[in-house]
Amino acid sequence: MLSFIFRRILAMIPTLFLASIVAFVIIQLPPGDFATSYMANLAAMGDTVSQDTLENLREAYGLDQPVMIQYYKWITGIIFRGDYGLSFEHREPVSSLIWDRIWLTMWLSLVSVLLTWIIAFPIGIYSAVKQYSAGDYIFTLIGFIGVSVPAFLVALVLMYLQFKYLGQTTSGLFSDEYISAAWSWARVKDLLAHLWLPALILGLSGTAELIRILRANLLDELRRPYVITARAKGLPEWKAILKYPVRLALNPFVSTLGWILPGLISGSIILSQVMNLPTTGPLLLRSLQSQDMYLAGSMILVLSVATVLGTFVSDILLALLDPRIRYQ
Amino acid sequence: MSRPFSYRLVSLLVLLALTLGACTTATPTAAVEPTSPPAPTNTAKPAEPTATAAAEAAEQPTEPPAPLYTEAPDLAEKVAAGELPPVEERLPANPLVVESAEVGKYGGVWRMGMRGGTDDASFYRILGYETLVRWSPSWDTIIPSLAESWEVSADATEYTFALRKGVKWSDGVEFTANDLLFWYEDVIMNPELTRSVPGWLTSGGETVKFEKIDDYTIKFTFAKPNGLFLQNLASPDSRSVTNVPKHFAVQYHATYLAADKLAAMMEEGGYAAWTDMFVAKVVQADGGGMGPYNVAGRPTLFAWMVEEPFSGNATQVTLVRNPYYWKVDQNGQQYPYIDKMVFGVYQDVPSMLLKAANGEIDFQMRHFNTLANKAVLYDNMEKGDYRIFDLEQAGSNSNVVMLNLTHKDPVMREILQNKDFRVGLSYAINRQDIINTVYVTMGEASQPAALKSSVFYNEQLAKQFTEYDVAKANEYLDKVLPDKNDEGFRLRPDGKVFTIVIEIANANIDQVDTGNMIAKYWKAVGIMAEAKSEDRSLMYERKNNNDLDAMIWGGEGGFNPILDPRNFFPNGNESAYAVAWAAWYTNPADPLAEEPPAEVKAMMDKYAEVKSATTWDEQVAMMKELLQMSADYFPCLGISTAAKGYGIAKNNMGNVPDVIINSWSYPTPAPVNTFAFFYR
Repeated sequence: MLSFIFRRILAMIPTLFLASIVAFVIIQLPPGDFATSYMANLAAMGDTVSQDTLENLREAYGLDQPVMIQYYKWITGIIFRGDYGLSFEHREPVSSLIWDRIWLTMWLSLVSVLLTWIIAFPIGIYSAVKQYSAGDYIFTLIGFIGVSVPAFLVALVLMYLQFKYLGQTTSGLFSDEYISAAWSWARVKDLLAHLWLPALILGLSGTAELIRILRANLLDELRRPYVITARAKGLPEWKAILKYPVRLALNPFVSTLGWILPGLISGSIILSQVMNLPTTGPLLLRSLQSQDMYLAGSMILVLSVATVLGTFVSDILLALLDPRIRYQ
Repeated sequence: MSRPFSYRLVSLLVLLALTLGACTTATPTAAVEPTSPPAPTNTAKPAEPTATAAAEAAEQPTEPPAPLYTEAPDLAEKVAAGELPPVEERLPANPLVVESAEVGKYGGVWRMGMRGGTDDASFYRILGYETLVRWSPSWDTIIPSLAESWEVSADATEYTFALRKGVKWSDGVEFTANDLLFWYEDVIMNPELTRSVPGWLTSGGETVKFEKIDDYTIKFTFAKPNGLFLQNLASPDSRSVTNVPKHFAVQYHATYLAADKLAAMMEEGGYAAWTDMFVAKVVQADGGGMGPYNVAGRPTLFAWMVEEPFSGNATQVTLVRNPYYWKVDQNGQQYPYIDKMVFGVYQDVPSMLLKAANGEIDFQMRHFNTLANKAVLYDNMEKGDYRIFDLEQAGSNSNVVMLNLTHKDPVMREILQNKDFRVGLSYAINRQDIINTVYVTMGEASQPAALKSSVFYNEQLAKQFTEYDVAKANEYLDKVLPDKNDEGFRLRPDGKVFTIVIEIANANIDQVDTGNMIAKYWKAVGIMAEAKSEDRSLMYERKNNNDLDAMIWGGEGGFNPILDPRNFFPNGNESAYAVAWAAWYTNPADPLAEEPPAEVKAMMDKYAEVKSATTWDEQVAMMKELLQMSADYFPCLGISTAAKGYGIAKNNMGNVPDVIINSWSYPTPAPVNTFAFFYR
């Protein structure tokens, strides 16, 4: 088992190295650089910027140097000094920008995952046990809608209804008075009061998916002879279902557990954009649009690390569950 | 009329009494104030005692002066508590009296929306326009601001300014020539902070010389005449000049810090270079960037000072009244009227629009005010309790269609440089059809030109070749490309089909629609044209590399073409119709640079004359000559005058004009005195 873990860790190093190169090169691919998009962006808002300023920017940020040199500076900064570089757009160090947002994003995702599970498990089990009942059909219908309608659209519709009929506008994660307040119990409560709606919307498609998978897996299991035997032996119905078939039906979740980590950071981009949430998503999107390469590159790098780590964790969990993998 | 007039007289007397009393040279500020219609119809209660008391003081100068100025209640409380000096001590000896159309009352919060990192202009346009001199609200003269008066030498090389005495930064430290000297020596002339000095501070290839004559007198000396200097000072170009409080800036400047302390600060902030830290906390050489809004309580000359600063993670930025603001209204009330500003930071425009429609934005003319959103905002006016005001676009055209006269392909270049060809293309466009379809009948057919309402209007420039006449179009095009293929498309002299791609930024939906219609009209006269919408960064990159056939973009210069002549002759790389000539103009050593033909050079020389003229009238006369030359040359095509823009203001917000000119050079809405806005 230890050698298995060791091998997996060794394999992560070249993966991360390649990922960092790809992350950096992808950002360089679009035509132009930050100075160009800065100029075009200002021009579109009716403001202008002088040619001198652009030249100053290019020189100050080393945009006139070859890509490999820029990459070398960036990656050595991260490895040896923990310095992710400077965000051109914000004129602030990248590290001071992203961690606050990652924190809030994790909260959002955590609440969303919990809500998903709380909703999906009972419904999934119900749908499988009472297959083809009226309830199953209703949940199936809702499930299909949940899978097929993008979360941001649901958000837009809900926001519009709220505006039209309640005269409220929700955006952000805090009420006005708590936006800049220090952390306190009241602020946490305020956060939770705002968090549930985006978390629910964010979890919508996940919930629907989970219900479908759970239902399908459980249906397979429920027809197995051991369930029939258990029932024949007079095991209580809830035990006959929950103790063995549900546990087995959960297997696929273990292997996808690893995807939750990167989802924490990248998921919700469009939803956050629409609902104006201060998560990492909009920052990443904006940095890509403005070709703010150190910010975008660092976020993609963090994302890659999260994916690799997530995969690592789920590999280990699977190995724990399934001895065949361990001995390969 | 007599009543308000007597008020003005009284305030003038008050000022005189005060300035004489302080033994300073009297500059009657009120006299140079813009004469906006004086209409304080309501009798502002708090001002009444002040005015009468002041009048007595003026008549009997031996008596101790009664309170001449009044202040906001929250400041009065602080004065009472001993936290602030009284208002007379906070104001300069000779505060700038800005007459507001309606005398306001104190109070209220002003809510707005802005968009993250590069949107510092949202702040600048509302509160950051505090310069040495400023534009009058009607944008026709330059009026005193931090500089009380100035002198210009006859050859427009020397500019001497007298600063307003006793103006204080928001922390109470006096603003003097030393701050400006710091700006010049340690920001502009510091090669690390300013790698190349902004063009408006140079003349004849040399950087301007700055001299501090005494604490309140400064002098700029140019090597060659620079008649546009005052205009530049009144424009966003000069953002950094009066925005560097020396006593604050030295904390972040390498020259003034011990090496170990600097290293520790950079380490703590995570900065790799001290210049990054300086730009983030103080100011960027050109004045852009978030520096002025990044530090809570940063000393400032603005009407409001930062309370909650902007940072990459801010979801809102708040500003509160600057207790040392140096302007008063005609009744002696210290500006600003509104207590506080809250800027929400929005990730995207729709959520801002929703806030606006719900009445949660009090005044704004940015981001969500597109033609497409007007209906939504109109429908919700009553519910949101706001009104819509007009923006008179200072742009020279809705669509400037720029054919690349310096095309890399010599065959294309020869065709596009032929004026007959451009005339033919212009006749081929049905402008009224575009105006009706794309701009819901707003605007009238026009080439890129100064607007009718400006002194620079030139009918030939605006109206030539704008009628829709397919026969004439074919006649002109036949002179250049007479041969056609079987499908009716015109052939180049080398036998290939003449093809032109019009590139358009996909964010500008109206221009994309227009471009498609233009391509249709051109095809009808045998020109194989294709409209291609793309990301604007891509378009800009291709433009900068001189890779375009043609592009569509908006254009400044409709009101003041002197400040932005890009559509009239190639003066910089925004002149996308002749990037290579523009490169030659700005820097002949540029690899793209190419020497332009004589008639284009003549316009460039004429612009040098405009710049060296000393008076506004001379400059206007010269510029008009240049515009006539441009009309004869016909560098680029236009479609229509820009459709009117709009903004929203709460119904109870006073002193908001019904029409505001919209431009960057006149940083709308700052010149209409946002500090005088108030809630009725």
